[in-house]
Amino acid sequence: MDKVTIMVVDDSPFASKQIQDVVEENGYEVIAYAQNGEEGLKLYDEYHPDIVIMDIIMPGIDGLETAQMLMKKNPEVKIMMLSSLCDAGTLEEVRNVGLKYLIPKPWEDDVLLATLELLKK
Amino acid sequence: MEKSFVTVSDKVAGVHLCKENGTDCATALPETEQRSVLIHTTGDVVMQIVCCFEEKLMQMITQNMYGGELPAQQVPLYIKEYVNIVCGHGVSELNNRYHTRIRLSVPICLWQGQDESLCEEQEHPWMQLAFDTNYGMMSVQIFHETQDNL
Repeated sequence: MDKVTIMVVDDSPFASKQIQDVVEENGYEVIAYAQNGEEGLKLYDEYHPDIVIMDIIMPGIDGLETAQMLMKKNPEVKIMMLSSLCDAGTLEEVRNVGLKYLIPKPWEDDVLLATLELLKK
Repeated sequence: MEKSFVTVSDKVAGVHLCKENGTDCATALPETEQRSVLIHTTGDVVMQIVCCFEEKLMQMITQNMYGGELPAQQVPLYIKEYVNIVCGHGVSELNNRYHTRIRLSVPICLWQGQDESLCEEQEHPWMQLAFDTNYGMMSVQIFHETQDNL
């Protein structure tokens, strides 16, 4: 059975490494990394990952704007947002762009994995 | 905000911050060994948050995050993420408590040839925090421009 593939969009190598370590131990495969939104858009077209894990605060266009552009072009895309901002207002902003899941940094691994399971469905 | 810094620092970097009371942040750290990271906020409250580390403490934080000896060119990336996470939690606390919408910029390492005028120093910070650790000191100065909803 093919592994579920993931693209990470985050300018932080710390976050990218932490995500890779957790998800690849649990049956997922990280197939692409992007360090900003523009790169994320290009790499999505190239790799078509099953799931995108995306930071909100990044240089250039932020994660929410990138997510909106991705969803407009690829309505089937599945995205999980990450952020150090974990307040009710940020969650509302995430929901307003049509996304369901926001994981705070630093995250609990079981929360990250449980959210990926929900997104897989 | 102080609680956010302590809790998150323990979790992300395995470094315990002990708050120092009555310390003047402007002189708490030896100037020659300082490494400063600037992060702006936008939205309901516009602030500049300057996190200043002794070099040794910065190295320890980033090594702990990496899980070993870190390539020198990656140190700024890791310390920026540290500042992003601790400040993010502090700002989230403000947002939840006061129902504000305050957002963060991407952090900037001020010792990397950045123009020092990016950090517009004002005479009186709105808040100052100084922390001692086993590896050196860290200070946080917050300068505000507007406090519309606080």
